[in-house]
Amino acid sequence: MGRMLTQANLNKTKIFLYVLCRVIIVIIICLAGVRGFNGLKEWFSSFAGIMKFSILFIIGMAIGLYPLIHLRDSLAFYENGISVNGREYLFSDIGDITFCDYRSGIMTQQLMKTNLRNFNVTYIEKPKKAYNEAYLNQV
Amino acid sequence: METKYIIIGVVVIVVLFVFYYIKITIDEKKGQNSEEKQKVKDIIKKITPEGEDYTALYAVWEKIDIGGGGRTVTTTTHYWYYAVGFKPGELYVVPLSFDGGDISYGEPMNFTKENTGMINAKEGDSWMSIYDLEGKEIVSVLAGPSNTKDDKYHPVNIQQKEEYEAFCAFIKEFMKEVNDYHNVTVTGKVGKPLAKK
Repeated sequence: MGRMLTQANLNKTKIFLYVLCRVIIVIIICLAGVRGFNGLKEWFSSFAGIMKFSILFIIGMAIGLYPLIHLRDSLAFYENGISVNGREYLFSDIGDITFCDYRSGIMTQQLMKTNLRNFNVTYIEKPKKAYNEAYLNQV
Repeated sequence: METKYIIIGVVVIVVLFVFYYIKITIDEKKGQNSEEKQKVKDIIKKITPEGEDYTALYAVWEKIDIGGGGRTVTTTTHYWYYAVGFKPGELYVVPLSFDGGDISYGEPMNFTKENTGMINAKEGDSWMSIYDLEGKEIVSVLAGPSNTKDDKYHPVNIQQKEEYEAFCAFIKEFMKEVNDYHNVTVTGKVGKPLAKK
């Protein structure tokens, strides 16, 4: 892999912001689904209701907290390759790197495209800047 | 529908139009002698032989791919940015990369009639596609007299009317020089340099 040239940090603020937004949306949907706090009381009046709500809430929270999985993301650029989430890839295998914004509705993802696969670098802080500093000339 | 809603709608559209017009005007003024324009000039100065005078110009290339299938249609727009340096008979194209306000640049490409197989362009237009000696496309560039920061994919304020006019003239001359040298006739259509036999 050679010498490490640059390393991009994890954008923890972005992860927590995304989690917060998703959790709020999940809570709003859950409350709307049970028709507000009064409806919630009705659901909690029986064991079956509590179970149903718990299952829905757990699924909702799993969706809401999903971006936390990216807390382990990492990206580093080396002389002969890159390291993504702890796994190393040589340029001879992955070819050229290009950056791409992928938009679907209101969700935007930043992808790092290679011949081998596309890496999701949405939660990495300024990955393109780190790439530019590693391999391109600065003015 | 009540009249007041129509009036509100018209007012909103007018305000947005005025806002957009003012923004474009400010960006155009900024672009006359912007930091980005100076950086493009600095890059060209750095990569070209010392003491020789090249005209520096900012150029782009955009390509839209439409894909998907069934009910899903995906549109992918590819953007490339370049610093271009030229003088009669010689051209430099340098890939640029933007991140925030920073400009980075890659390996410069140098083109002369000897190392270039063919130039596809249309006389009077400001784009050109450059091909190697095997007929493979190396790079395409398109220059405009006015570039404003419209969004993150249009990241510079650069006004370059004089350079743009010089580039249009250069394309015509350089295309003739290269294509005559290799005895090639091009179509002037983007992506289709040679006529089907």
